[in-house]
Amino acid sequence: MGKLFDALEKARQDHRVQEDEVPVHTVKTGEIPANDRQILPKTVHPSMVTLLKPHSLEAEQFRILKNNILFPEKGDPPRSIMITSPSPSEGKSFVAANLAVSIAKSIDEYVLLMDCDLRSPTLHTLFSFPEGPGLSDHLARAMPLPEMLKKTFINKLTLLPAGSIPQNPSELLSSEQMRTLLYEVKSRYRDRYVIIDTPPPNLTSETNAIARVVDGIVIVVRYGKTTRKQVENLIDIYGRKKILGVIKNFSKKPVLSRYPYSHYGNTS
Amino acid sequence: MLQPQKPIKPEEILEIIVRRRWLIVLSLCFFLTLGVGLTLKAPKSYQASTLILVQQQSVPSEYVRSVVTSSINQRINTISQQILSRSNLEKIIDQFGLYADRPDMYLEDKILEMRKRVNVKIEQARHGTESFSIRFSGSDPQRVMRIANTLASYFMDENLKVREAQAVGTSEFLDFELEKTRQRLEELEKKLSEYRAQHLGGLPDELETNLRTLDRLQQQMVDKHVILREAKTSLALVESRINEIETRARQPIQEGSGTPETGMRDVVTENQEKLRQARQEYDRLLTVYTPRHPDVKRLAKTIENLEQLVAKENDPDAENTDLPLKPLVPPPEDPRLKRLKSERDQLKGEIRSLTMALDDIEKKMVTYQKRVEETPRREMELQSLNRDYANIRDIYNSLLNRKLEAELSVNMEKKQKGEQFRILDSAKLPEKPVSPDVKKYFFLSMAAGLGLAAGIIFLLEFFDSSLRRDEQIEEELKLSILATIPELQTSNATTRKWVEVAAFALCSLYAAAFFAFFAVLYVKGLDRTLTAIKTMLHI
Repeated sequence: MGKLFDALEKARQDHRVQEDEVPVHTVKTGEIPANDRQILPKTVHPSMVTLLKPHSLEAEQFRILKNNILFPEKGDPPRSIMITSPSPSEGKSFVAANLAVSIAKSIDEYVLLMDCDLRSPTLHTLFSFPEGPGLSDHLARAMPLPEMLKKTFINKLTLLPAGSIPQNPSELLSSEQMRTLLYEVKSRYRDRYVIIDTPPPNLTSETNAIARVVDGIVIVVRYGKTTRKQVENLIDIYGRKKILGVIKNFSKKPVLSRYPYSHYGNTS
Repeated sequence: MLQPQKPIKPEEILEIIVRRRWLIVLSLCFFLTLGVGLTLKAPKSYQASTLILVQQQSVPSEYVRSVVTSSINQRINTISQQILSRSNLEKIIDQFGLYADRPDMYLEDKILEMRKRVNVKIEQARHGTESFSIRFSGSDPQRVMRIANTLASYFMDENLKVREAQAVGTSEFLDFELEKTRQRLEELEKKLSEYRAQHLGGLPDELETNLRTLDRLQQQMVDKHVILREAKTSLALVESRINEIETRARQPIQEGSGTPETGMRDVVTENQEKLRQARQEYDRLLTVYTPRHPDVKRLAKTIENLEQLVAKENDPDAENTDLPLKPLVPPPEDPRLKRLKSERDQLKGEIRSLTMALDDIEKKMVTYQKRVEETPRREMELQSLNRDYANIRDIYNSLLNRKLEAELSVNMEKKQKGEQFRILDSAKLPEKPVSPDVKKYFFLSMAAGLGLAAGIIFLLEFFDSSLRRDEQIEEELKLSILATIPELQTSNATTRKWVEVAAFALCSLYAAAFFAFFAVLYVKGLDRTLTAIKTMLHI
């Protein structure tokens, strides 16, 4: 508890310092603050709701998600979080990016967003970075990591892009180097969160290797597409303990609901 | 982990319907279009129906029993067969110029099709009274009505003809039978009377008379025999007298006196008897007592007295025998003999006539005897004859009764007082086609549209295990929901959504329009709606 208290104290101090630099929290209107707008490039992907529409319903949902993850009922919050979903195009990268932004924006913790989907990397396009060297290059050719880390327009958010598409993504991600990297990233900064975007585990095998190292797993479920069986399979593979919870993506408003999403406040 | 199947909630159904709205609307659109198309395309068929009541005979059946006994069903079947017969249908086809527009059609096919269009149906709705309807369906309402009426009238005519023919036929048959039976009856009558004439007197009903006659003859014979015997005795007496007189006239009279005396001496008198008994008593007493016993003495005295009496009696006897002999002695006189002889002759004549009468009686008795003996045989013969006669007569009588009834029934049929058909409702001009059945098409297409949609939705939902509801995640998978992110509202998605809404609205509008059109067709009727539309288009 002492440690945590210290960490919180430090975070508060950092926060105060950063507030002066980037006054994100002071914005009350639905409009993007003028400062941010200046920072944001035009090519930011429209799905970055936490950036583009920080007061929209979706952004609010990501805030709820962030709170749910950072303030668990018991125990420490997970420092490294793997975002996965059974099948492709269920919104892993979207959730990972927005969650990372959300965490980075609101509290004084640093966030490292890793694009581990070496097969079809998308995170860099969301942040409108050009294709360049990334994780695969580091793992395959032992290129130094700091060169690859991209500073985003949100101060505390750092992106590790996937890099060039390798021929053996599975081997690379299951390698010892990868494990070391993850350990290193986790342990170097105590106040840093690592959000890992992964390829779909139903189709690829490398996700398992990552899953063993991370603290928590968040499963993205696409409304009306992901089946119960797929989720059950994931539970079987990763174990119930590590799974933090489920994110319902592409959710539709219930037909008879008068207060949309009012019941999500109860989720823990 | 396993959880019981939860009952589906209404809002979930609503959600499913909203989610699958496209399926429902498209299915409805398709089937309503199909239904309306079929309704408009299907050939219109009109049906005219004539309701015919079967009226019971107006004369009560206790008075006149109907000869026509076949059940109405049978008769209707028979008549409908006649109506549907080839010749009749040909006649109707010719008369109404049916199938004139189809010269390439074979006559057999025309008749086959006609048969399908004529429908004779027994209506069970009216209790007790029976009725049936003749229906005819076709494309031209006017013609349909006329043909239905023609068929009905033909049906009525045929029925009357059938009934009359049946009644007349029965009557004729009975006539023939009656004549035949009458001939047989007459034959038997003749035979019977001949037999009676032949065996007159020996008939069983004369048995009593015969027996009585026989008895009387027997009595007569007995009487005659008695008389005969008496006559014979008298004759013998007379002859013996005659002989006696004749012999006496020839011989002296003395010879004759001895015989009566000896005869007289044989007679034992009372006293002699008493004497004999007394002597026997005396001998008996002597065996018991001495002669000095008073009883013995008294008996000896009695015997003595009796001996005296007996001696006295014997004396006058000698005097008496002489007296009757004296008158016999005188010589025979002629007149007496003559009288006796005439008496003898008379007796002889009597005997002869009696014998003859007896012979006669005997002969008569033999005859009667024979008759009596033969009576059982005759009786049997006569009985069999009578039986035959009675049988034939019964048959004749019953035939005669039936014949009379049949004549009554024929008259009843002729005057149409018997069971007959009456047209309750004659065929009216059909205004509404029976086919296509708009109602049926309407409900069928609605049911098919909704049913197909429901079936497909059910199958989809049944095999769909994708996660939608929070309960599925929270309760079945036991995972907490960290966040629920709605679909992102990009401008692209919004446009798509609007396009979808517009298309859906169009489809719904299409379905609603067809539904409304169908409903109008159903409520207003096919013909009226179509004519209304036509007039509107013309204007």
